[in-house]
Parts: sequence; C-alpha cells; structure tokens
Amino acid sequence: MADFKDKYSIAHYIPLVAVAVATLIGFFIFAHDKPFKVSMTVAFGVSYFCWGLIHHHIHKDLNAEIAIEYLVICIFGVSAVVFIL
Amino acid sequence: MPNLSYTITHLLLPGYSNNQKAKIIHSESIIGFVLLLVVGQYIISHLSKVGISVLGYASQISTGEVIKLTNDKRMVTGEPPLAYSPELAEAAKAKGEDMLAKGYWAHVAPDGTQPWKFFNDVGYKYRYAGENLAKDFPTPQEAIDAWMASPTHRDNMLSSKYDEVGVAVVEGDLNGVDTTIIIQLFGKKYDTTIASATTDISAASGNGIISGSESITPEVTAVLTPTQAPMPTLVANGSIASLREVGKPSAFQVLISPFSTKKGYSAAATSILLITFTIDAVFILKRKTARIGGKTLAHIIFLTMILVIVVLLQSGEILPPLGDSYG
Repeated sequence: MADFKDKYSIAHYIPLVAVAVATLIGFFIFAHDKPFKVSMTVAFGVSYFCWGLIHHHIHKDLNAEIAIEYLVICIFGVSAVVFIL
Repeated sequence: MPNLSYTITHLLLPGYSNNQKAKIIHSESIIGFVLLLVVGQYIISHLSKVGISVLGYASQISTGEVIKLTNDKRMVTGEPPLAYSPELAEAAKAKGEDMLAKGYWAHVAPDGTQPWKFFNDVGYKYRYAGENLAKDFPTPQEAIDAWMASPTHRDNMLSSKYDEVGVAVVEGDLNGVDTTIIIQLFGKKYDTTIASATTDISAASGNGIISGSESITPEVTAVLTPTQAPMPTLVANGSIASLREVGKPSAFQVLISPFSTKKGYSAAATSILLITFTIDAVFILKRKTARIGGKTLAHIIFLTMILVIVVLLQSGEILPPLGDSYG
C-alpha cells in the first residue's frame, strides 16, 4: 500500500515537469515575442498553483496554509520573470 | 540577544524556533521577497530618472553594422545588396523620435500616423516601402537574427522589391522604460527613367511591407543615386532634440545594462529560495521530521525552471507583422 502511494505520488510530478519543459521550449521558440512570454509565464505559474491544489486534494491534506504557500511561490516565480521582460 | 549563528540557523535551517521550517521559505517571507523583487526591478528600470546615466544598448548598435548584416543575409540568398539612403535614414530617425514622443511601440501610431508618412516627409517617392522594428537588443547581430527568424520580417530584409535601406537607432524613455529602438526602412523609388502616363501601384500585402497605392504620374527628375558616404551612427539619448555620437561618452556614465542587472537580481532572489528549499528538504528527510506543508520537491522543480528561464532569457523584441495592406 505504501509502495502504491509512493509510486502514485511520484507520477503526480510528471505533469508538473511536462508543463515546465513545455514552458521552457516555448521561451526558446518565441524568444522575442514579449506578450507570449508573459502569457506563458503566467500560465506556468497558474498551472503550478493548480497542480498543488489538486495534488494535496488527492492526498486529502489540502488546507488554506498550503494553498497560500503555493500561491505565494507562484506569484514570486511569475514576478521574477515578468518584471525582467 | 540572538547571535549570528542563531540568526542563520533560524533563517536557513528547520528547527524549533521556526516551526521546523526555514524562516526564509515561510509564506510571509516569500511575500517579502516578492516585494523586494518588485521594488528592486522598478528602481533598476528607472535609474536614469535619478540622474544616473545608464549605458543602454544603443552604444553597441551601429546603423552601419545593421545594414552590413542585412546585406550579408541578402548575399547568401543571391539578392543584391541594399544601398544606404540618407533620406530613409532620416525618415527612420523621424519615426523613432515619433515613437518616443508619442509613447507607442507599433507600426502605426495611436493617432493613426501611418509608417509611410515618414517616407513622404523626407520627400522619398517610393514604389515599394517596408519597415522593420526592433527594440532592446544588445547587439545588431541579435536583432538581425530575430528578424530573420520571423518570416514576415525576413521577407522584408530579403525582398527583391527593395534596393535602398535606411536605419536609425534611437534611445529614450518609452512609457517610463529606457528603451533602444532600431528602425529599418526599406524602399524602392519610382522608376524616374520611365516618362510614362499614370502608374497604378497596388498595395502589397501587409506583414510590414507597405507600398503607395495612389495613382501618380511620375515626373522626370534627377535620378538620385545613393551615395557611398560613411554611414553615420547617431543615437538620440533622452531628449528627442539632442543627439550624441556613439563613441563619445558623456562625463559620467554607469556602465551597467538594465536588462542584465534585472536578470541578475531575479536570478539571485530565486537562487536564495531554491537553495533554502533544498537545504530544508535535506534536513527534513535526514531527521525524518513530520511536517504539514506544500511539497518541497514541487517547489524546487518550479523554482528551478524559473531560474533556468531567467538565466536564458534574451532581451529584445520585434513587432508582430502588420495585418492588412495599406493604401
């Protein structure tokens, strides 16, 4: 049971990594399209936040503190990129 | 009085004093990081306003180099090189100054001023005309590469319709941000050797290529042959009316690049969080501490990708192509 939960938990990270890689590829392809880069960054941040909510909901340990944690890290990450553009 | 080691431990390592979570990665601390990030980036962007002369990109961009690189690309595809046109250069400079004065980044001004107005203002009677714009590229090569990577801008650069080019590099405040704009105008004059009747010129399709669409009877005038005069490298810095030659620095200059500085600042802030999360995760795993909170691995993945994006971010922006044809 514990092994199943561990494997299931690891599999949860695949979509997060996939979205991250897709964002990076997008940044290369649209290297000089500022609106697209801003949109991609925001989309990546939102995806990460949603991933956190869904992941913790599935594990039945979602609460306000955890949601806020993912939200502030999302805001930090998006700000770190967008304010350079 | 807490000593230095206690402070560092409290900030970077999980322990009793910080509820088993490094203080830096508490939500309220991360909010503080966001505020520091925003304020810091704002200050860097507006350094010139507090009297510090920031060396932007313009000093590294020579109009002659832009034309040379354009002709190099044309040579590869077998197209003849474009001749330098002082009139187009003047029109390009006027366009750049207009963009800074009216605060717009577009082919058409907010008040409806079309790109070919600048051709007309300098008396350039064109058969075909085109415009490429780029901003905040650190080198001419990167601007050229960006244009070549865009099909529509590439069409302009390699088009057989044009035989002359004029380039201007202007630097100034565009909507509150120090910006360096490259304006590249392409043109082909009416064939003045043909003293024929009315010539209809159909407007080319959009995508940065514009042409006159009026019916005009060409007059027989002196044929203007583009000269081989040395290409000036003029930069408008700050005030539209003032020009300074590249290569003659002002009395006091801080040699920093705003873009690189902002990148470094973001990278540093992200690295601090990333390292702290990693150290925190190692200690929690090692001590087998039970803790309710977000998944540290997810945070590390997200912040790592943000750091990679920040480090690999390139400066420079080119405009999307024009839509419909003008005329």
